[in-house]
Amino acid sequence: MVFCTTRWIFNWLLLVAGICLVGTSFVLRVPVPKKYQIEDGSKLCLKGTSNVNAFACDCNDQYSQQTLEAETNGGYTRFRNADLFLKSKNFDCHNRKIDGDMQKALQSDKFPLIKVSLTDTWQNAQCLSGGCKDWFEVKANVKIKLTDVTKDEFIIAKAKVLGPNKFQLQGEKALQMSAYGIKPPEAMLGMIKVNDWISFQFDLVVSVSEAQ
Amino acid sequence: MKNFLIKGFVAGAALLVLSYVALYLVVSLFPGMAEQYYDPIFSFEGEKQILYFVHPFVLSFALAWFWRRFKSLFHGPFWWRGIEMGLVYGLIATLPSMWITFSSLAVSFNLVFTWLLYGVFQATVVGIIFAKMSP
Repeated sequence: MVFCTTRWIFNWLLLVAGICLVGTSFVLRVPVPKKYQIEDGSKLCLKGTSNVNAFACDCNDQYSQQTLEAETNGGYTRFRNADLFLKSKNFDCHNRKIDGDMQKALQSDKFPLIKVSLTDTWQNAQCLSGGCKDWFEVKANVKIKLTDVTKDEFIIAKAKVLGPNKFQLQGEKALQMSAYGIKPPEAMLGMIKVNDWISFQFDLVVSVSEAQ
Repeated sequence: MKNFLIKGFVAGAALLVLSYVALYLVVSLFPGMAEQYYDPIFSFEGEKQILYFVHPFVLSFALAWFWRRFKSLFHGPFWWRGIEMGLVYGLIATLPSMWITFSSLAVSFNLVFTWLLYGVFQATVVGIIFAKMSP
């Protein structure tokens, strides 16, 4: 009986110790506040097609320095406050009619900003610390808010370390306008219709520094 | 007067159908040309949209008056009289207006040329209908 009780306590301690050991290896590090800046020359554009043509809208904007929090554990990083705001009125589709129709569809008077929030990423930890000279894959979960609808999206992008704390990120994400409650623009009595799927393409150069 | 109204409405309805078919054909067969309509110079939206659908009737009633006054000048079978009226309308109405349109607006020659052809075609269709209904 005593032997059984002792064994039970021993097993219990082993279990608790095991949980603690496993737990510490999975618990994320303390969030580290970092400043990031999307550098000039970064490109962000929206591409779409209609039943008669294709169009591309550049989003030329100046991005100010932002502070985010990142918790990194190996190849996994969780972010807080990693928000990117795009002014929908800044879309330049090289055709005033398409500019106007896109802004109308995105309800830019009511919802002037498109919000893209990075929530977490998976990447090769070695590459992140500069161990890779070439492009490496980054898988990211983001929340995209168009008009008043927010949806979780998954993006596979590629990244490259350009220098100490400087990265280049390239990728694209196809979005279905109707999934965000947006009616694709139409023209000529509905004869010309913009297709429901649009693609956000990005080529960003991002500098990261430790926040004070 | 009754005959005038019937002629106007019949020809207007025919033109309305044709105008929609023409729009559909341009988008399907000539997307490059249709793309030119995706320009701020064209406004098919809002309350003005109704004016587009009224236009065939404006044209048919104007041509009904013209037919009543000048039909005696057109001779031959009904289809030929219709073609003749289309060419006369094209010469005295469409050509000068398309000329000034091309010279003053930022629209391509191809687009203006299709409008000229379409104007002649519309008047020809109306002429054939009138020549059949009211020889």
